[in-house]
Amino acid sequence: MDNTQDKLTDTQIMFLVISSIFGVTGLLLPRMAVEVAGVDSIITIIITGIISLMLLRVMVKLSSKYPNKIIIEYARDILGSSLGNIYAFIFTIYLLSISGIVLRIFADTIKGIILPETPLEVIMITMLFTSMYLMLNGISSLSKVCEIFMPIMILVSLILIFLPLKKFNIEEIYPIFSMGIKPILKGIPKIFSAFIGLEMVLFITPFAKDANNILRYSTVGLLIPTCLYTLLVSTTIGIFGIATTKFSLYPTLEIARSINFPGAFAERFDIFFMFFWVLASFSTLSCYFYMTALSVAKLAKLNYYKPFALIIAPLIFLIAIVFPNLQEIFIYSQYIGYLGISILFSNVILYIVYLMRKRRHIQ
Amino acid sequence: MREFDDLKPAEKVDLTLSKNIYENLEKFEAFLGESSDIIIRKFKLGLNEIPCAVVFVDGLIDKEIVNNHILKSFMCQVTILEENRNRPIDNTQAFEEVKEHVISIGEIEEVSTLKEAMHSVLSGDVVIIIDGFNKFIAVSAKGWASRGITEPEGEVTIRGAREGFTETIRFNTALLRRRCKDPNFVIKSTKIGRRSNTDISYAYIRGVANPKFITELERRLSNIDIDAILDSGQVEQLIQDDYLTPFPQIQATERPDKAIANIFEGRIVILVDNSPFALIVPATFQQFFQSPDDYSERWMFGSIIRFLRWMASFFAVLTPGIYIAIASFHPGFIPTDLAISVAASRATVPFPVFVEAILMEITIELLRESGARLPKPIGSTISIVGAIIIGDASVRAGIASPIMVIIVAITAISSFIIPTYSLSMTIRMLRFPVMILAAILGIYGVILGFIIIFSHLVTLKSFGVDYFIPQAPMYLREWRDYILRLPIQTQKFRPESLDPLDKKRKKD
Repeated sequence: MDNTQDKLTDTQIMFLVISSIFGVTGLLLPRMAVEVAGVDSIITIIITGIISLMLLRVMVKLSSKYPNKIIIEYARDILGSSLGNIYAFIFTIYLLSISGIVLRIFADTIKGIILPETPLEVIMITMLFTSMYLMLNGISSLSKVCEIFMPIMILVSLILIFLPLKKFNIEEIYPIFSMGIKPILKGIPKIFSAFIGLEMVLFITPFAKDANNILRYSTVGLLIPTCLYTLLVSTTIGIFGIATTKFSLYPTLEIARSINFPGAFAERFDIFFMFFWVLASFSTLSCYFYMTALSVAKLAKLNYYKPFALIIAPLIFLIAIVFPNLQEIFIYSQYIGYLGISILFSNVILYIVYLMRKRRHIQ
Repeated sequence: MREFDDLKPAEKVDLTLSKNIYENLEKFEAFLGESSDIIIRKFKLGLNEIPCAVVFVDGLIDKEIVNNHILKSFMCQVTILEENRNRPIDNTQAFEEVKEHVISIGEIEEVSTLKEAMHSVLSGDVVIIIDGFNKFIAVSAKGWASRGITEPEGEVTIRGAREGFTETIRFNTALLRRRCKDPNFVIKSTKIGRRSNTDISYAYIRGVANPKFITELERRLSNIDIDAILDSGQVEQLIQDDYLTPFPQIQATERPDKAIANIFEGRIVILVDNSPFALIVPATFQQFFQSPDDYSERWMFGSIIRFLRWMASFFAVLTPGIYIAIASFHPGFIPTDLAISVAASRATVPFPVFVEAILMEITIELLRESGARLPKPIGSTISIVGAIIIGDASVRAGIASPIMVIIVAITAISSFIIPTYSLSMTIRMLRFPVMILAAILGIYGVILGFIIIFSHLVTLKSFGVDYFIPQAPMYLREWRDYILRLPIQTQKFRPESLDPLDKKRKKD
């Protein structure tokens, strides 16, 4: 490992997990949720949060068995060389695609709301370069930036959630369970894509200052986005009702737009929110970029990831640019979401295999 | 230490001291003889008439002391002593006798090489040479014209000490020593500069400051190789961690109270002779937003003002950029009435917003710089002329819009509010790249600039301490003295990030 880097403190781990989960999806989630399960999506989110909490436990447990390795390396140890390599390869491809999708959704949102006349490519390239500047400085700098940006983002999100509460109409949230339990469970896989980013914990063990605290702090790091998601979706539904939420592209921004402070220039709170949303998305993108570069380096059995960043950046750009429109991305990102879920769940299998091997070893 | 030979390579002088006074004096003359301010006075000591001499630099010594405590003792009082004791000073005993009975001055030192002797003379000591000995006595009789202790003009406080550091290092160490009577308060010294031989002192409290900073500082100081140090600013640039950044990583201050407060926190203060600015290491970003006033006034006002400074620094960097972005890319972001009035005020302006903004910002930088270099009474006139006449006239002439003038004024005022000059300069400069980004990418460019600044800030370190502490990495305990300044009663700990040996400020 890169020894010149500082080790990650506990709070840094927490914010890394928060920022890799809570980013781009924050803008889209209410619509995604409502499409899936209507009013009951609030419950779906809570259930998904609980499931991911359990997954997180397994993932941290597993990675703590290999304190000096990340998933790409110990997958080989557990699954054997060939199978492990295939797994690691799929994992890397997945990370790469997620980076591309994050970049694309980000750029599309910027283009749609802030810069309608600027070419998409310009937005993407500038963002990618900025992100590269950060991630080349290592995970320590990355986590520090998360530590600066995420508290502000959480604060602004809370403002966004609680300021329009007087428009909140409690009747919109009733009737819960009107359609039974089935849509709630059906919605879980889709909602799960909002929790993607959890895999960050598979990458931080070698860099942690105190590996024993990873579980506790990453749990907090997961709980915060879960709470924010739940609050955000219930506020959106409570204010707009299901029908409106379903048909707005960025429902979170719609809420922001509906806020008006008495007086001053806050006529467009959405722009204010966008400012901080860009910061959050930037840290998400940088996290994924970093994970991808590190995975590729480890796949090539090298410790030095920086040169790979230069190869990966164009790849991310290509993935991001290949989609003709936002609709296609949403479809594709669903598949990637499913892939992400299976990768997250594959950790359970990895853990079981690990335990079996260990038992056999002892016998 | 420097090689003595390169002081005067042309002359071949035997550098070993001899027992003969005349040979020794010849060696002195070979080096210093040409200079008119070097004084070599020969005389005879006591009844045995032992040949002696004093060597000193005129202007660096206190004549009173030299005449009354050296020359007078040597020439008159010695003979009285000899008569009382009824035995003359013996040639072989002269050196010790002189040290013990003749020189009535506190600080004396034996020197046994020509190099040391030369050095003592040039830094203001009086060197006494006695025949028959190959060692000298260096007597401290320093006394030169110097500026008194005055109020620091660069860092004014409303409530706080009015004393500022001055050019003489001895006064400065005294200013610090007076504020800390702890026997563990250490002031160490070294010399830097091949030719200038500038005195440098660094002060810290043993048992508070972490030794890793002290050894690191000593290493960096000993690595300096330069012919002359003229100001502490040079030392700062030679020992800082990263010279490719606009951000100052070492804090300079004129205020002894600020310096000593930092020493109590576990930092080290470096004093450089001939410079009224002390350096504080390690420095973190939040430190540049502190002023002694925050601590001497009630905590609420201290907190509000501290918060205001942070806001101001963001204003100073981002306001012109945001204005450019909104006026040229997204007028829809501001309320319609305001957008209309912006557009109306810009109707007569022939330039794009970016050009207008750059013009006005450069003008204000010009005014500021010229105001700073001029004598005070004229300087204030210039700023009034600049602010009122140029601002008003350019609006009337249709070169700038009134709103632009307001924006420029807000930016300038915001950058003045930052108590440290070096950081306020950084912040002034940073707004230009942000403006360029805003002109290209609108508000998105401003956000990008914001991100790049922070991505850069977190990579910086000052003596191995993260620059953006206590935010990144997070040290929640230190937030008591960060954006807000909470009551002194709550400030129980020294900054954890500095890893002080004595962590608590209070006993309990």
